[in-house]
Amino acid sequence: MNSESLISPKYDLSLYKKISEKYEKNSLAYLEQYYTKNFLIDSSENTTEDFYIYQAPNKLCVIGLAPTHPLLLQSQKVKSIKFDEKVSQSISKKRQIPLSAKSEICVITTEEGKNYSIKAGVVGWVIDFNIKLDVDMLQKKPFTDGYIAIIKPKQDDPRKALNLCINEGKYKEIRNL
Amino acid sequence: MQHVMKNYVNLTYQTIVDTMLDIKCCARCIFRFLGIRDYKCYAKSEEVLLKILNRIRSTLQEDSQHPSTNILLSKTQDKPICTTCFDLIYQADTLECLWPIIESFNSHNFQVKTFNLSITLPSGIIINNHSVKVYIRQKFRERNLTVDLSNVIDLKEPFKYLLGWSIEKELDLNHSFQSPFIISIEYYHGITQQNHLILTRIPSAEFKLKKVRMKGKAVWTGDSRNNIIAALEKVPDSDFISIGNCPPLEEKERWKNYFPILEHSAVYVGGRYIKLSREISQSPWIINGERLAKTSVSECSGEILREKFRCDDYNFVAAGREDVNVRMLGNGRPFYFEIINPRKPFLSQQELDDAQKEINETQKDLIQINHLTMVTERDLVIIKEGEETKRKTYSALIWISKIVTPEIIDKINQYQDKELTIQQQTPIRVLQRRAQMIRPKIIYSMKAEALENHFLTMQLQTEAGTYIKEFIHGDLGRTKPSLGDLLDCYADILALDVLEVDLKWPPNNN
Ligand SMILES: [Zn+2]
Repeated sequence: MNSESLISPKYDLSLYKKISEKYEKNSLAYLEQYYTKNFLIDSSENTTEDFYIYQAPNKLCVIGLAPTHPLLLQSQKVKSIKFDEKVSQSISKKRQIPLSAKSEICVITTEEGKNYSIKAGVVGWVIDFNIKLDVDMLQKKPFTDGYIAIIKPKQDDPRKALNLCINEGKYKEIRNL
Repeated sequence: MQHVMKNYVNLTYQTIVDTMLDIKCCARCIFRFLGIRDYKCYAKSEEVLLKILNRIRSTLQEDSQHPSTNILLSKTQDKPICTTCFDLIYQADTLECLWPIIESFNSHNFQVKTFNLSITLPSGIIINNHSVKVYIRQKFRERNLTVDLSNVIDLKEPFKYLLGWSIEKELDLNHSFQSPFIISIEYYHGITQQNHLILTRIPSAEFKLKKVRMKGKAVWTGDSRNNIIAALEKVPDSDFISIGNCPPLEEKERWKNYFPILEHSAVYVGGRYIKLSREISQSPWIINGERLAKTSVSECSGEILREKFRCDDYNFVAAGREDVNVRMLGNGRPFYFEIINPRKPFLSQQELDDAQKEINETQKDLIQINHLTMVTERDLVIIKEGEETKRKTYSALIWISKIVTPEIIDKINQYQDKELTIQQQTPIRVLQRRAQMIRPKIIYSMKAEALENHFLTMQLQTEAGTYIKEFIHGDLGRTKPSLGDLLDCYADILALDVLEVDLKWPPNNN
């Protein structure tokens, strides 16, 4: 390497061709660089209250609304987002009992008075809520700025931590996307 | 010697000399008990020293030699063993004492000019020396005299000087108390090792041993040298005489030694490194026994330095670090190596230049180091402070979801001479080990250049501790504003390089 390239390095774009093609097809494809995508499917037959769970290489999980969630499908106006108070208080406290996958961590209420419950989805601890989350962001940028919480799974092994989840392919297949 | 003769001729000294010759202590030990602080005198032969002692004792009486003199002058094997030094100071300048040290020094081939000694004496010495003091006082009492023995010199002092002088002569080194090269040697004497236990049978000693469990084993504590000495001070002579051996029993064995430990204190070598590979880490990256990067900057340069300094080990410390997939270019990142126990503790600048060349030739595609030079311990603080306080300059390859236009480039370049303050929540990628916090960070300058379609490159100068990758892609909105926010699109970083760590290092580098 000569001294010129040490000061202003040149980048060989041919190395990034594949990535660029992928990104051009889908602006959110970059998230796959940082997370593996998993989905949590609504178990009841008539509703589609589905969630995404992105897992980072450090095992932390980001939970938010999947594209098929009724709050994103129908034009429902959201009135409030309430994070569970007990869970909020437990953040950054040591020696907490882990939440079960079914523990409610947040309730979203629409203008019409309908309540949507958000569950932890993985056994573990909420280590951060999206404190910047507002009604607008939740529905406009659900897959980035509109995430709901970050959870640290109790299980280190992703297969065990995400045992209730399915991958993106399976999710699309089930929901005919 | 003249002053010894003049100052030490009186009844007190004569009685001490007589008493100690009676129990066949060595001449050097008797000198200690006389409180003679001119250690050069001790270097004389046993024969000369005994002559002086005989003169001290005989000036007031008839001129006759003490009956022990001849037996004390017989060959070492035939001579009774001195009970106050187990013959250690008697042999301090002989090959017996020197040999283990010379052998160890030569086998390690230390390249040093000075040394210091760290000596541990057999614990039995304490009780035996006390016993001889008690015995002397008893002799004085029998003659209706009193004596003050507070000037008796501890065995360690003159022994250290004598041994030091012989090492100086034998190895051509200087004995210096400031030397970073330390020869540690521990002597023992098995038979008298437990002698201090008699203190447990003397109530006035108030000597108590405690049984504690260490690693599942029962161990006695409370018998440190200081505890033994403090306990002895409390014991009246009469108590000691009735329970202890006074004078000490004759010894059948001389001193022995454990293997000497030769150690040079750490030295430091500093420089700057350039990391050209996106596959190697800064220091070995091993998680759960699994290697996640094939090698590291630390190993690439440290292993060659290990050979040059012939050291036991090394520690690598740098002013901050970059991720594995980030290159460190420009003038490089300041670092230093702590070289542990070097056999060759100093390399000339020429030798360092050669080592640097060797490192750079072997690792051509991975790392380059420059400015390699010896640094002092005082300099190291620069690196530690630099980690927190210095500005960093980066180069990044960026993809944005819009086609790059001159307007977009202008939008970024308006921050070329304008600071931008961003708010960074702890990135998700480090949130498992760092507490959630919001930190304001300053981006001092940003400059973009268009490449084709969606690609652009950027040079950024930022405050230390700014997470660049998160500033570009936004980290799910946790860094505000992000580059994506500024351009109202999605952005991702495909490659990152550090161009400059703004820190003057090494300090004496022009
Ligand atoms: Zn002696």
